Amino acid sequence: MGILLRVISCVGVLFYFSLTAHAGLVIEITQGQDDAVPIAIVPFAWEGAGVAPEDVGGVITSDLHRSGQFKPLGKEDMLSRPSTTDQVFFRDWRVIGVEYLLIGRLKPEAGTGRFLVEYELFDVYQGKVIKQGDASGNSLRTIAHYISDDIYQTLTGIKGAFSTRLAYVTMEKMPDNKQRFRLYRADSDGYNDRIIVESPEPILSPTWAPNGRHLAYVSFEDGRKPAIFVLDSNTGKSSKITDYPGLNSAPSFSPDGEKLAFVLSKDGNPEIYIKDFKKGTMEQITNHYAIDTEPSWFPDGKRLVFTSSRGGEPQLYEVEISSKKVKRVSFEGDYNARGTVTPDGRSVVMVHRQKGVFHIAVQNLERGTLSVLTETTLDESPSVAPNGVMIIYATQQRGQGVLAAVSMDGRVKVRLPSSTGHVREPAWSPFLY
Amino acid sequence: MRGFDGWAAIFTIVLHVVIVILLFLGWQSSSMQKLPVAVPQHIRAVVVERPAPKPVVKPAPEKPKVTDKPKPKPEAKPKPKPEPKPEPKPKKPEPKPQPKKPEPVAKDKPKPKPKQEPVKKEKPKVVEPSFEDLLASEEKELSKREDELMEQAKRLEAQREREEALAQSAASEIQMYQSLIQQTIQRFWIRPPSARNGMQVQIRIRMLPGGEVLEANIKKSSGNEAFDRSALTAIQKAGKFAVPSDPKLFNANFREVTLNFYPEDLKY
Repeated sequence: MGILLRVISCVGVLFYFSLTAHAGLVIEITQGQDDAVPIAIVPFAWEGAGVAPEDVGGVITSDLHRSGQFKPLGKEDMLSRPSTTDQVFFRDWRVIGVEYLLIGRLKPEAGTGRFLVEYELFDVYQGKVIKQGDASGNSLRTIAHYISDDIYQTLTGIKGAFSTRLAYVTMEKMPDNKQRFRLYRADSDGYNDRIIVESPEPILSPTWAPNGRHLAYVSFEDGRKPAIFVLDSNTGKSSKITDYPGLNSAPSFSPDGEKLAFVLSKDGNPEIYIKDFKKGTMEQITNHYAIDTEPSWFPDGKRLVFTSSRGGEPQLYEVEISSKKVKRVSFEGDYNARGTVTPDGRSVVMVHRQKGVFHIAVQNLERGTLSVLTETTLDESPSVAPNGVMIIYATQQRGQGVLAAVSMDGRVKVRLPSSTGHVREPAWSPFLY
Repeated sequence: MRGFDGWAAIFTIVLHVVIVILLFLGWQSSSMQKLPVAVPQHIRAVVVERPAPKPVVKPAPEKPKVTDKPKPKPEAKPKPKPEPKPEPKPKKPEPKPQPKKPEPVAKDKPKPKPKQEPVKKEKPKVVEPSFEDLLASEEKELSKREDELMEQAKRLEAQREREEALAQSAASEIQMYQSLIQQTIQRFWIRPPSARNGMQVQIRIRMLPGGEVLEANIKKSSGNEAFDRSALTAIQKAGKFAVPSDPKLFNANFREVTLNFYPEDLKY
């Protein structure tokens, strides 16, 4: 009996033991790094005659680098330069600590002037392909941005915004001492810039329609009085929307593109109005003796955030369009303006004055916490990328207006190369596909 | 012949005692495994506590807790532990069975006595003086042995106490390696920007005794591929973790480990 009991208990113990061995330990990993992910983008192989017309790998490299979330390996540090899967030796890349590897090939399509690009993305540590694809088109830069978007989305889980566009205004002093204002449209990396409006009078506040094709802006070209125009950036055709007496400023398209919010001072004091293109109607939204300006839509299309001096100093407020109920949004500091709600509707980006210096800041709408993102001075006109990851804004460098970008978490800061003259009022387009 | 019978009787008695001792030794060695069982319970308690304290300083706070219970803290905490442990443990399994021996010994005594009586009856018939001498020396020997056994029991008791302390130090050793693994992974884990606090991916890893990762499989996905992959990459980038060198401790706790990636320090 005793022995039997012992045998049973022994078996029981062993069984329990084996159970616990199977369950093993559970280790909680609750923290990590926010570093950029090391990636290698091997120069794409050119399978045509002569030299490749564009460095596709290079465009992708600078796209991913600019996002701040990737740390591309320098070409000179690559131990090998594979362009096909069978040439890839993962050990070469693990040694350098690269997590992902992108290789590709491009060739001209006979007689069409088009190019075909094929690419493979590898997970170096798991030693396998995690994405492969191809793209064709006339413009190798466009193809490269498309591939960047694909890689970015695969690796981050967030849609890439490399195939988007920027609009911005430049101001140049001409030899005859006259000023020249130009509204530009460019790729998200600043290339392929193209003048779409040119005027001796100021151009202000360009903003994109959700279709990524039309732009609204304010121009003084019409008899030196401000007026709001909507422009087709493909054809260059523009049409006047408002030219009331006094201010006509700060246009902003509703998320469905059917309405435009803006500011008029036709009754003596700047107030916010909404024009409905479909119904052809215009409605006054705010009514206060203080200044109300710079409306920007919430993604739900039901509310606006705007700047008002009704509290004695510029602060951000939100208004519910249907009820016209107003609520204060910003509380930190004595100057907050130019509010833009992020695409996820969770935060509002603004110009915030801190110790007399203007910075770009972001406020979490749920928690109310404000973080200052930039260290540059005289920062203005923030515009958020459609994927909500980066903010482009205008700042000053050696007395000249330049564009800069900062990631939403403030970790990554990028300066965009400036052409001649002052660059101001950047506007990031919505997704184009 | 009858004299021989006496020797035979002694022999049988000794044999019985030895067998009984061996038997109990054997069984107790199996019951020894209860100690390791106690260890997993400690581990569980530790794991529950971990999620709460985020700071990297964790290892230090954990150690104090463990140390409060057993006195052998200083030895257990430092890295030197791994080396000392392996040696003491092998010894323990054998000694442990003995602590229970005191009881078996008591049982043995009654048995020998009944046997001795029959022997006495036989002996009187033959050579009484020599037999009594034998008996006396036998009894002396037996009592000596009893004393020895008692002493041994005491020693074993002390050893058991030491083992318990060691078991607790084993628990703290497991804790230590747990937090080493945790720290290593956290150093390699680069979260994608789509990661949000509260996302969770569970990955089961199997390790070789040296701590090399043999395989890592997703047990429960977060639903976000980029997030899952970042966790897998962190493990594979680390490639190898610090694990106890004691094979018993390793097999019981570290051959298979579940890693629960659950960010709490993100902005969103």
